[in-house]
Amino acid sequence: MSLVIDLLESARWLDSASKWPAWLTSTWISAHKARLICRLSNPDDYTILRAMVPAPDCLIAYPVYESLENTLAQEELALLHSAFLKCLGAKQYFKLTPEMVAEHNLEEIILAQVHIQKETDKLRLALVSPMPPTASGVANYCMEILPTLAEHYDVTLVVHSPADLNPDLMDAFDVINHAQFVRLGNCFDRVMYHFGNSSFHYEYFALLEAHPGVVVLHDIYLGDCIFSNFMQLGLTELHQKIYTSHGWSALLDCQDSVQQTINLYPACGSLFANSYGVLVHNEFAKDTLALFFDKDTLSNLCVTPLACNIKQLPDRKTSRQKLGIPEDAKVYATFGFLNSNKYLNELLEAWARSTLANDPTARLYLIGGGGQRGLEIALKTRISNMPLPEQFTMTGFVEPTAYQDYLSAVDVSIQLRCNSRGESSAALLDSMAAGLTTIINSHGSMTEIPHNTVIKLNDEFTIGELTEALNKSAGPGKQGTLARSYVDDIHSPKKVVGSYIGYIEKCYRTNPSVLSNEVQKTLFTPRLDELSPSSIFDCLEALTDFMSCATAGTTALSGSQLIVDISVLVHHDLKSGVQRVVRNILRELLKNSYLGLRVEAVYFDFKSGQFRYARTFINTFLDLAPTHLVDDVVEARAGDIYLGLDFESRIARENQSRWCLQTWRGRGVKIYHVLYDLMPIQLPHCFPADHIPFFEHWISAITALSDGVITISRTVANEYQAWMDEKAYNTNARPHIGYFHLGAEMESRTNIATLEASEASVLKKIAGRTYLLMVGTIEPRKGHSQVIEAIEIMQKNEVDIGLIIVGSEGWVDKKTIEDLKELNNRDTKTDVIQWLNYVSDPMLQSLYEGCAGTIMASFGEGFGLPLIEAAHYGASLIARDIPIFHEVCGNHAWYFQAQTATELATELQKWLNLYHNSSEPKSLGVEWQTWSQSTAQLVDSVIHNHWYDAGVEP
Amino acid sequence: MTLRQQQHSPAQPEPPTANADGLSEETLGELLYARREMLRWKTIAKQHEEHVRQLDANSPWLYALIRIIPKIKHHWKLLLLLTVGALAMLPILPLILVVIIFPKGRKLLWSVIAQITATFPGWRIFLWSLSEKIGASDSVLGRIWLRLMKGRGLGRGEYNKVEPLVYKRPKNNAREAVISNAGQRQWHLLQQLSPQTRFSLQDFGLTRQRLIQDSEVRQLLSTSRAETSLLRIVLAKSATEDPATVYS
Repeated sequence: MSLVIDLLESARWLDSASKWPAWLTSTWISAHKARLICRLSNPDDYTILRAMVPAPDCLIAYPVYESLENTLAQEELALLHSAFLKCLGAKQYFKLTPEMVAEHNLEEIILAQVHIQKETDKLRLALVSPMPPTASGVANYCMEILPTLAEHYDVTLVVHSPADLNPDLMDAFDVINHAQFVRLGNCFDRVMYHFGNSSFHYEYFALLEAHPGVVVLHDIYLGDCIFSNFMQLGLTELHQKIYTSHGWSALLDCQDSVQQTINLYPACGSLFANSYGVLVHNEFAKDTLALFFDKDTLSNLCVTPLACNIKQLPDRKTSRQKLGIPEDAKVYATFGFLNSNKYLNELLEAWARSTLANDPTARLYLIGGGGQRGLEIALKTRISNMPLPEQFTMTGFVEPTAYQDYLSAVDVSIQLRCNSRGESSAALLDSMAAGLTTIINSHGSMTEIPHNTVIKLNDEFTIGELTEALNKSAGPGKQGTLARSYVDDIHSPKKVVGSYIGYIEKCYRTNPSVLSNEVQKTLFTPRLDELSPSSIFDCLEALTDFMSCATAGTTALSGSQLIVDISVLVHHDLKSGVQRVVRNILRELLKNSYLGLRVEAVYFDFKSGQFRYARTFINTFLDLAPTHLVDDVVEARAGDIYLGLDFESRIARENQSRWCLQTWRGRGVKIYHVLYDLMPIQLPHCFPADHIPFFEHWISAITALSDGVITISRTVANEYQAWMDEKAYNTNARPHIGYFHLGAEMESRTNIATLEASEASVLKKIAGRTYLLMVGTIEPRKGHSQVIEAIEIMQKNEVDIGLIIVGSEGWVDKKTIEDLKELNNRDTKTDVIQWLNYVSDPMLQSLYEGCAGTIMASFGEGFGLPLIEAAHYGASLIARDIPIFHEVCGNHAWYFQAQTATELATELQKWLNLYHNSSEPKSLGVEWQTWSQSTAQLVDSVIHNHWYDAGVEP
Repeated sequence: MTLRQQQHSPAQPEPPTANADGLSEETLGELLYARREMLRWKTIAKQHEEHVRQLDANSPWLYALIRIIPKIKHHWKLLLLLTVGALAMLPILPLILVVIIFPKGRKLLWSVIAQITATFPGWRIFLWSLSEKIGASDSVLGRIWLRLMKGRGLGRGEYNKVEPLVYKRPKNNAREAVISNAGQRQWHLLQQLSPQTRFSLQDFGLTRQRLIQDSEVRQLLSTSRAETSLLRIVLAKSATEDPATVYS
């Protein structure tokens, strides 16, 4: 029994006098399988409630939806609330206020009934499928199941062109076209779609979106079907469907050949998103889908055998006469379209080696239409070289009556397959139903056929094995009888259709999306005349968001999301170290298909006050063909993960963005933030005075609303932990702490592989000189002034040493910048101190490779990325003696403690002496990692829940 | 264990759960990944095998032409223009050949052609699709097309120069919706849908007036669930009003 306790408004519980009822413990909640729901009056209430509630993960919090409150009447809001509770699976519902100090105070509220089932004798079913005479296997299949289906439902056929339909069907059933169905779809109680991978089914995507129903998926790969409309929408539509089904990582695979795109990914995610349930015909199809979609997406997937009717075949003798086959002939045949997935070349090869090749009574018929001209030519050539070419006949496409004659006339059916894409072979079942001896290989769905009913070869059989099977096979016998009874037992249309009906009814009865759709229609269809279109849209946005708190309805994007916030990068790439990290981690996440989540980059749109998908940005970032996807408002659901990767301090601080994050958290989205350092708190003198309160506000905010904080080093993790201890944060409300280390290699994608002319001239000028390299944003905490002064002292002492500074302007007083500019201007042949601002990756690489050493004089750092990059390119390291540099470089750097420029000059002189003797500490021993490894460490915390504060080291 | 670790001890990572086969979730995940990768590479390998087979058959262009002829009629103007353009280019072909000898000349030529094709996004997509459909990536000309049509990325640090694609839904006022008749009202409501959704509904005759304007990019797609909800409630209304009418 599922029980829902409504805490009503969060504000009621925040009064300091309010106490949590002592009886409502986590044991009670778990024993009663209870869920708590609460309406947030303020975004930060959720943090306080989580600390108060004994089982915070059972608490669902949702915001106040003003658009709905302002539009709907009280009874309509009550109806909506009832639907929400029903979607939560509530059997009992109670309201709880702080005053209810004892359990017996709870008073059950009777849930309002939401009727969605109509009481009628026979439900109206719209069967959306091609029907005969359309040349489609699905059409023939539906023809077979139609009589049984019509016994249970009042069936209306939905076809593309009713005028072309078989006249018998026109007489027996109501028939409408697709346009009529779009308009009248709501008149049907049930809708059943039959999807295959051909152009006949293309419009079904739009129909399904308009009128959801249950889908029978005959082929799980739908690329050909989607691409059949390429003249209208080009490749874009296929790419869009691959994106919505499989995410950005899949799109990276789809930039070259269209055929590869079609073959690689099923692209059928929208069927799961828009339907109430999906049926496939074999376990292999289900297993293959499980390779591409997560469990949640496939939660409404069901396997039902393919229906096959045991037909009364014509008399064998008559059929042979009709087809011109001698009575004493041994007839072998393949049934189905001729294509490269049927091992036809191998079959001819095995035939040539078998005893049949020289038997004038043996015949091989290839029954079915073709489509691969090259294959047909190859087969004909091969046949002409056989000892008895007259043994072979390629019939081409045959009419149903001729097909029945062949089934009757044949002795042995050969059904070999490779590269299966989840389909069930109707031709195989026809052969078995006809009682033929059938040779198959154990491939795809055919592995599910019992061994005693067929001659089953290995999946990747040898020609020898096939030859042996041909030699052994005889005419219809015991095996054929068993095959026939197997088909009758498992695949009889009566049984299969019974399963279809059972599943359809179950879906319509239990799928929360059905209720959600009905409630939307009930509440808003009558209001279409009175409200403006935009306000209706706003209400529907609010309603879908509300229902998604109860996990009702689906999103168009398959799978749970890893929502990566890159707001700064999208709005303005500051080109700082943080953005460098963001770009590299983002790229690694996007191309990784092994996360178990789809990676979606997002940004906060301060104008609309909503998070949006950064699709336009990612499209360009990954250099993909245009996908024309709108930067929609993010739709987050339980199970998603938000990762604040970029350092956008406003997001955690400002009310609107905090509302979003807290309400996401309230529905089960995990919120994580990356913390790069605590410098403004630790070194306040190095930052503008007005920046420090902002930072403190931000770090307090992320501590309050995050489930976890991941730092970029163990040192920062310890510092953050110490900061929380100092601030005496409630231990129950603290986020987990994790850390990861940064990657060392340059960005893999640079705009040019060669140096700019100006950069080349700089390199030419410093060639052969001994110089130190200093990389990092120009900020007081980086210690630039001290290093410059030290170098100037050394130069005055006629020490041959230069300094190259690389880094853009950060938090800095104007004087330092002026000094740097002046240094650049007074640069002479003997006096090399240069500030290069921002340089290309190849230039930076050349500088690392050419320098005597890389110096990092920062008074504090989150990680010290330049040191690890320098180590990657073999440069010696000189670093200030602070804990973070010891964590990064270990014993492989020269550390200094100098407080003044003179002291630093002395220390550098010592290092220089060692350098000239080649005895300075070498950076070769520094353990650096790639960005891929760095990302894996981050993922370890964020997705796999391994935390440093729980004793797990990356 | 530190004090901090003790505070969080209940939240320590749970030991991996084992399934009936005795495999942990993590191992199952790895197996799934391995199977998917195997399928992926097998498919790619098969793709290449077929590619080679097609080349051996030596008639991809002719075969492709036969396949696309029925569809060409929709874009005959463009093809005519291309043919005329190609003919007009003939006299200056030697000059172009000289220009493309030099790297800067090639760069110039690419940018000019890319600029021209970028001006007509609809054509650009059609040409891209056409070259893909006819398997032109096998040929030099095909490779030229693919290079021209491929999204041209920006340099490092330039990603944010891209203007985000946000579909600005029309903000009608209530009065406009009230005064219009049922058909117009439906049209106004459907304008809240992104262009591609409207384009896919266009041929179903929901409204007299065209659902999508020529000036709109028909590929533009929103994945918002509110759009789907809106479509469903609009159609629920239309089923009750004048169910026999289909504007086709």
